[in-house]
Amino acid sequence: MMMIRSINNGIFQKTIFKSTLNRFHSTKVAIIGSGPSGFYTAYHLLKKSKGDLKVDVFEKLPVPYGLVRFGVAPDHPEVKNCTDTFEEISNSPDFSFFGNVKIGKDVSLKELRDNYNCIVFSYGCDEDNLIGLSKIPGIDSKGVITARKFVGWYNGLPDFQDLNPPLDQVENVIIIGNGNVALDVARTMLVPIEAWSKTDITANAQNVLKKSKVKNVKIVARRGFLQTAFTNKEFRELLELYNYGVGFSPVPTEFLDPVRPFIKNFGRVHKRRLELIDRYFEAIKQNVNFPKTFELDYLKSPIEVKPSSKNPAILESTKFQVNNLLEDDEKNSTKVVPTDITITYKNELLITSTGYRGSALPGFEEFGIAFDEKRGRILNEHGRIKNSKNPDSFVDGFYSSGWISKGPTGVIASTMIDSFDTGDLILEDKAQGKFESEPKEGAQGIAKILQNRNHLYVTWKDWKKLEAKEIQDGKKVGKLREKITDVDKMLDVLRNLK
Amino acid sequence: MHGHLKKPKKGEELHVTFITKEGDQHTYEVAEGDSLLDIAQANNLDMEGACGGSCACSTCHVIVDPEFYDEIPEPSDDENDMLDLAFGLTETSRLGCQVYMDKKLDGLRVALPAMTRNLQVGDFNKN
Repeated sequence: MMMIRSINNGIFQKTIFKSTLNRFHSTKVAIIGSGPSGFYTAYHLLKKSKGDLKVDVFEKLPVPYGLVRFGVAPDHPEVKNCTDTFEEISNSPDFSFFGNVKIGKDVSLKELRDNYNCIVFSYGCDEDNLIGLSKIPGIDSKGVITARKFVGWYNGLPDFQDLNPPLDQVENVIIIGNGNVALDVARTMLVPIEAWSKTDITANAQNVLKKSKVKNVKIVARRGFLQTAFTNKEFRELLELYNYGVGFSPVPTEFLDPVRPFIKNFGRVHKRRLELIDRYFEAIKQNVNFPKTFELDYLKSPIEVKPSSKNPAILESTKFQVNNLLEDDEKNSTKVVPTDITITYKNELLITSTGYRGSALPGFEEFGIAFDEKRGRILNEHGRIKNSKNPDSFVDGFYSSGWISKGPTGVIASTMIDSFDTGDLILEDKAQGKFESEPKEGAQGIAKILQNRNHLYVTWKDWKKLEAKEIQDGKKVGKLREKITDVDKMLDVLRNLK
Repeated sequence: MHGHLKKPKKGEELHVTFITKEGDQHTYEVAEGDSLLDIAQANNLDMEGACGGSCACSTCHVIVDPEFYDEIPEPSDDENDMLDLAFGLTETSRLGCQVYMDKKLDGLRVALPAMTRNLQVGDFNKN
């Protein structure tokens, strides 16, 4: 009798002990990337969890916020207000930031997996999606720059600080692409220099823009007016520039007239877009003497870039092939059909703005994380990552959110919703007990690894010191902030403060 | 910062009801001049206001009870630009940061959109 009871007690105690132990250990979540998708995923997890979850955000650069810092245009400070929300969670004891840590280099994915119950890929898209452009003769000329580099340059992204576009030698710019980035680049080149004086644009970019001789920006799309990807907000901003002496040429009737009869069937966005074109053109048509202009051109694809024979830094012209558009009503899509007609435009600079793509991280193969090389994103279903060895199953413990998950489209609000969805998925899986394996060390384990490697990582406190310096430096010249644009310099500032 | 509301003067309280994604109804007594975003955030409703109420995002999208829609001054170009991008846009959609309470709007009812699914106008009739 005694014997049996003691065995029973033993089992009973052990069971109690294990589940109690689990309750002492919070679920450790690692998020890779500190842009809007990473931070909104972290924010949602911390807001909705019951205090039994810790979230650590990893960033390859010493500074956080990804495209909020390096993508959003300097004259859109209100869009950057989302960082107020990110700041809120940075005060949480359940949040840590690891800046200057590249996953797959400074810490391996395996080491990360060993220290966390779950990992979220939110590292966005950091490559150009050149589609067919890379095959065009002359595309490697110095006078061709991708919009991603141009935007990174004026926003202080360390990789592109040597870009220095030759704007002092350029009058005519062609931008290929029809997204918001294309319009950002156009606006940047056209607004008067004073528009930047209070923003956080880099000092270097201010200097180059000051010497700019750009007079005309032509924005060329492969498809038609109805297929444009930019938002009406960005478009109207460009139209509003007539207040600053930037006019626009009327959109040629050949592109608009064919669509006008169908305006009744348009969605709200296109209805407004056409209405904006008409309304703003009415407003400016009296004045024809604008010192600067932009124009919209459609149904053309570049086929040859000709560098200048006198000056290798700039171009002479770009040749386009004229396209036809075939509507496929059944698929509700359009197909671009090239014609034999070509047209050559004189331009000294070509900016390609045809979108971004993501890249795989070292270690994906090891864990069977499926990556779509063609589209440059992680294969997933609503943030649950597919197994590369068996596409019908998922890889446990790995999730994705934002552009690396859905592809590089949408504004911050859409990334926010996607990140909340991924957050909900993780919380559901947690509630179902999916993460109740052995306890994980989380931030402490990673800090140990980095310290052993003598790798300097940036904490949130460090970042706040860097930020204070940036804001202080900005104040001296009347700007929102003066960004530090060099990784070594960022780290030096921190070393000197320590 | 948001979420700070004026205290309504006695006898001048205005009423506004928020209907959540789950269908719960919350009625608050508020003062003239409060924005719907501020009211929602002060009461911890799920409304983000990512741009800090500066009409630069669409995260404070609300669907206004059609009965009240025409009482609200028309949206500006700026607001329309952002509504273009709102999820589950309806004929009576507005941004919470651009709608300010006044006497005409006493008794206003607004629904918070389900962010991934269209909310039907019929949802107002679930009393």
